Amino acid sequence: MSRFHLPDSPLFRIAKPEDILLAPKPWFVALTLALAFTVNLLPLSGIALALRPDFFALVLLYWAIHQPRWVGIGVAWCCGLLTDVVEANLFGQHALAYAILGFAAGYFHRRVLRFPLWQQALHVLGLLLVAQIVVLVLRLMSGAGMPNVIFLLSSFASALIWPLISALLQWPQRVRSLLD
Amino acid sequence: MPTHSTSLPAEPPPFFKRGPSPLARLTFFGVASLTLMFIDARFRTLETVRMAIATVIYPVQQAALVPGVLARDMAEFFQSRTALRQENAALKAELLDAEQARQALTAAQLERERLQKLLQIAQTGATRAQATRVAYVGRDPFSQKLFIERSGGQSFEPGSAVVDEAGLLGQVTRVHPLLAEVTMLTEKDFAVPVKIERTGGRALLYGRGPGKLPELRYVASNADVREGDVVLTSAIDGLYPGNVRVGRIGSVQRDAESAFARVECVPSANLSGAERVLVLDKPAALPARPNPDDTAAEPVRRKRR
Repeated sequence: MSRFHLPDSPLFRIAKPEDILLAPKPWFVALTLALAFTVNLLPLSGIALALRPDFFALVLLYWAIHQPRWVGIGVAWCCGLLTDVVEANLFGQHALAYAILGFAAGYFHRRVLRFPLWQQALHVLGLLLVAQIVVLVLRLMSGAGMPNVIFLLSSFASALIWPLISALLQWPQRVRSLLD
Repeated sequence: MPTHSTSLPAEPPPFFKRGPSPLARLTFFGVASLTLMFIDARFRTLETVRMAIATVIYPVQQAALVPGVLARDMAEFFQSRTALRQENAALKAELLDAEQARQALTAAQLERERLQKLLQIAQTGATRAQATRVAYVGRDPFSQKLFIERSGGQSFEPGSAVVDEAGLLGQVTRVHPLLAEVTMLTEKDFAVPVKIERTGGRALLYGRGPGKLPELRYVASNADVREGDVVLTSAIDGLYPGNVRVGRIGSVQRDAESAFARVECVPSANLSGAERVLVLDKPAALPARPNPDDTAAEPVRRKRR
């Protein structure tokens, strides 16, 4: 059996940091963020919920790493507030966690892009775990009960699909760069 | 993009201007979130902001529910005829049972009313129930929330009890224009005043957070509580109507060191999979009189005081 290969087209490769791509369209950034937010709202519960990657945080992190001038701490903070509203929990907990994500992405963005995708995923895993632990500490301080530890699995699931998300979000840019 | 002249501009080009440093920004937003959290937890003054944002986001939320609804519709469509027929038969049998129980209940209620009239005990009117369906289960791993739909005419109040066909689910905690948030009785430190059906002994049921059964606290270790006893709401808080089934006693542990027994209660409501629920109105503080001939009795009572 031959291994499954993606067609050997530049469309299917991820840009190396030294490649120069056209900047993404602002509406595309906004649209992907909105889509990720909607996907996060899927009515899951139980183990499916624990395994669901935090798409919103992932897409946010992607843009914060690739377009740090557009998506920074402020945008991340606002996205966190939205998350807090729809999840009906303490106002500001995800805002703080996402702001930290935005800060870390801005701090690391030059470095992270030098690594191959799977090593980028490890960075992402670390950042998302920090964000989840920030939320955990804040909630425990506000008097909530200790949740089941499987809720941390979400970060691992998110890190696993990081390569896929990166490829997807870069697609329009690569296509446009090729067409030009 | 500004056009650059050959001479050096007076200020640095825009790509060097990055505003406050990232650390300063993080500190600013960090302090902002901590302030929000503090205000939200202490004063509950951010409800209007929350409600406004929630209303704006509502269409997005509905869009996210579409795949689930589609999947359910598909499943219903492909459900086999025999399965439906079986379900129909089971439901008919259940209805028959329920009808019989209702007739007995009507008789018992009439009798109770007569007795209460004799004893001149204030009468409790029937509680109004509003039917609705669960929109989705909350995604916060730290709390036990449920979101129910709210159509135009429905007036939910924070504090009203929410029940499914098997028993008490929890309490309405926030009412948004199109949704209402229900906190389930397994939420940590969520208290329900209850009584034990067999003995009438009162107790308080406290939730203990996700994955743990709620427990009856402050039950003396010599109190008459057994495994399998049915637990009902006791209506002494003025929020829940009385005699709503809450659950069954799952385990009773008495040890010599503690003055209280450790009593766990298994909720009878389908906490993870309830679909259709009823929101029960709070019992009126001063119960209304059911029929006008009662007014004749009032002067007598006044005289007696």
